Amino acid sequence: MVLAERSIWVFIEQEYGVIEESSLEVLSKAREITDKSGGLVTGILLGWNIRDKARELGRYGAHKVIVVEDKILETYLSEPYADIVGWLIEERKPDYFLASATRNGRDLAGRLAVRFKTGLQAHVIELDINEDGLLVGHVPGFGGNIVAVVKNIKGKPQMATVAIGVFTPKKLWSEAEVEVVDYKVEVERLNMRIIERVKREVVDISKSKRVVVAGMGTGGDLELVRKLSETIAADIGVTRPLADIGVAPRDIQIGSTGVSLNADLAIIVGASGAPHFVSGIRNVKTVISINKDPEAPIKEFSDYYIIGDLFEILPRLIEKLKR
Amino acid sequence: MARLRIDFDLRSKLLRASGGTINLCYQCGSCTASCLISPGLPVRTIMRKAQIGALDDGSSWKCLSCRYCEVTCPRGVRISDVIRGYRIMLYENKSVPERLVECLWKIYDYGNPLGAPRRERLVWAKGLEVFSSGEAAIYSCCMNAYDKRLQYAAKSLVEVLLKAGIKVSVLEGENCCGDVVYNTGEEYYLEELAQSNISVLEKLKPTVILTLSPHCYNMLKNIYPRYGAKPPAPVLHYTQYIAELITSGRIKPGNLNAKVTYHDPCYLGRWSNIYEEPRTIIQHINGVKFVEMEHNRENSLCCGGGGGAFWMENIESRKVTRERLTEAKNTEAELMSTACPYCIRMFEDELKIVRYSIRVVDVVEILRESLR
Amino acid sequence: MPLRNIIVTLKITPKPEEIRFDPVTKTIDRAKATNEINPADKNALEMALQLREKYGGRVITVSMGPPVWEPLIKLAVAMGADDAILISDRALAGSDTLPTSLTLARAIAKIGDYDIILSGEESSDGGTGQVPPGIGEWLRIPHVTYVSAIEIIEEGRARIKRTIKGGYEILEVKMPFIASVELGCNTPRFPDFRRKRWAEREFKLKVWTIADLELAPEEVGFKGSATTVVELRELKPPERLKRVISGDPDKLAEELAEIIRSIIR
Repeated sequence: MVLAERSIWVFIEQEYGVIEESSLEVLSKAREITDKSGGLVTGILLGWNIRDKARELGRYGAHKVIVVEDKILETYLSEPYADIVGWLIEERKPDYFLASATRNGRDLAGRLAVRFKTGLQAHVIELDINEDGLLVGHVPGFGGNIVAVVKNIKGKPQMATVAIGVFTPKKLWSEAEVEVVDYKVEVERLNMRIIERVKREVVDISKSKRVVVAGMGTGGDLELVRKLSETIAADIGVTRPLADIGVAPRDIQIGSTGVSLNADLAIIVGASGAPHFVSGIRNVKTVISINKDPEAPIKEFSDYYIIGDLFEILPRLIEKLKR
Repeated sequence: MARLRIDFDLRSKLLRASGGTINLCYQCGSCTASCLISPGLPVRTIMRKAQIGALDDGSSWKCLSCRYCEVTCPRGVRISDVIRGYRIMLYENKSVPERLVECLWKIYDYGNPLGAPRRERLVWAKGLEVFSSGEAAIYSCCMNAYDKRLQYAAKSLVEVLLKAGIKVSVLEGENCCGDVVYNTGEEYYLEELAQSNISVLEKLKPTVILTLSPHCYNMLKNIYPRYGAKPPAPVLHYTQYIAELITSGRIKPGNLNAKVTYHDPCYLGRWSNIYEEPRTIIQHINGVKFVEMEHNRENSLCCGGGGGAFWMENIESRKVTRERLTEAKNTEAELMSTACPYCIRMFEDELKIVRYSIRVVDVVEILRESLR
Repeated sequence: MPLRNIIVTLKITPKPEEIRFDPVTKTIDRAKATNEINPADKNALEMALQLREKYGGRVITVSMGPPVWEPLIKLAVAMGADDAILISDRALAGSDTLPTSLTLARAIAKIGDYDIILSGEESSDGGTGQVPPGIGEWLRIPHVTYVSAIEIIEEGRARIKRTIKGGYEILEVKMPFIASVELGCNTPRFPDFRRKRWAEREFKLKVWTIADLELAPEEVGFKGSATTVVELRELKPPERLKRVISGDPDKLAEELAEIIRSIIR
């Protein structure tokens, strides 16, 4: 394969015309790879009335974007999405196919990998193409404590889904060339359809740069935690017991069954540090904990461990930070 | 008029479970009136349903198995046994609170209802002079083994016993006593669990088996024999053993200047009739000013954690916990002592919210403190 | 409209906190870890059992793994599965998700008469979540992922609730289909220990080899895989400073404010 002709396709996920941010992460990463070792990046965008959003994708790294529009593609549905993307792959034969490891991304990639009898690496946290043109990725496993270096050895396109939040979208390049492809979806022949969709605005604190986390030591009273978060422009998170007693929604529950934080700063107030919580603060750059207990388990996972009563420290802290 | 489905087989099962006492109930309603989680649990109605063999709608799951109602019952009806009989029926019909099912899985997979790793079971005993066989075998509650705060009570017990020159052993391969399994109404796994725990105990060849938790005490002493699992040595709650060591002079308690009150855990008090021994221990410590709470001994209030409630985390339980904490506060004691890990955990968790200035301790902890 | 076969793919996985990584040999020591039924597969099995309670049918588990999995597969039978199949063959060693989904799909096809296939959303050891859509493709049947509830509405049609970020979708899907079941969407029932004793004494686990599935050795295992593991590395959690600060609340607040300001800048 001639390096310059190498084609990397990136699936661009969208919903009601809003592009999924993690797809941009993959797009920029793909472009960084081709800038370094040659190739062309093509975004694959399915949706409804979406073509106007395609050019902008170039700024995030796409040389070109292929667009397919149909009302049924407005939100993800596995059958028509797999059929259309599969058809495009068959027609155009890209060398690599990447998608963000969102639920829909993994859904789509899992099916297509079998359709093309090709290798698919799952939620990689690092990605490159080696001198032999093979996709090499780092795949975390076993609860995140072990990483496997994996290579695609056969099949085309070589596929991988990319872990969310690992790479950053970069707006460095120029607008993309857009090709709108006609595809008539035979809706009556589909084996599935969406009859209802309920969605509310979620706070996604996995992307927050600063988070103040309330634990059971607050007794469910989040007043001080709220004031502190306002003072330093942070978002709020909670530990599981607080979500359990209904003081906060599960959207902002941190831990192995909740959100994994990627913040620069997390201030954890009144939480002892149970193992399932601690796995959610692994990727935080600086962890500050405030706890009455001189030996709470969270001490081992903190950069700064303040021994004290949060009800005495927080009001004073807020006061001093305001100045 | 409400329609009820009658099950004669259920009726005879409940009659047997209650030891025949359900027939004595004349529906006076003292039980419902005195129930600590009133108005949540319609005890009188449940007893009536039991008398005629009608199915329970799931109210039985709210019971704290504290037996406070049995003290007020003028006829001696074994109310909590009837309620457990209903739980067995509800379990067979797969109508069980999810939290309890999760506990059963955790005990099966990890040997404890917390789901903590098996290999960390004896971490609390690291650094202590314990043996794999000895005079006194300590059967530790899962909470004492894994909860960092409660480990302190277990360590205190070992240190006190060592000071008295007793050779202490701990169980390699110890599993949950199954109190929550028993309270969930599951019978067949409980049988296997009981038999496996007894074989682990047999390996230690103990002279006496000491439990930290009154729940473990009840399971090993009273419940296990019903499932064909007989303990290889006498089972005691640690307060019985320590009280004896004090009165016989083998332990000489030291000094602790504090005003102390004592909470009778339901499974130690009303379930096992052990009231004096914990008090003996506390009152032998010099400098302690002992004060009783308004409700004590058979009339003691519950911590809100019995009957599986500890694992279900209901809001009704917390009201019960708070009421008892308020009684403790009213004594103006600095320390509220007790002898059950569930009680300590329930009170300490509630203190995080009500923030009374009283400290909760295990009786053995203040004894150890005095021996320094 | 009683259901026919409800097939559940069942994986037995090592308990996550018991897995040890040997930094010298750079391998995962699975031998010392004890096993459990993959938690999401337990949810899938529970869903299958509830479907059987409502609509009839037979719940059959199918697993691809070594013979040591037998006791835990019998635990699934104790939970209520009607039958269980284990595909065990040396040639399967080293299979990535491509030959794994192929093997399971062949086994499911061999069982036949399936209306619904359920799978846990992903496995706790190296969970990729790729196998269920892959099986759907091999069998040429629709697939839906992250399913939390299924209802049969009429002959050959089901209504499925799928979890999405911030909410859910309701889809209508033609049967047969494969659904990957969301972890924690239900509470798996505790096994019936009387049935467990019967399963241990009397139940005969069916064991199939790749020959039974008409698969050649080159189609499975290392040879049949499209990816390969080059090496394993330990991913250590970040080294924390663990600086302990205590004292007077006013002083603490002052020091903490300084630290926070320096980070935010």
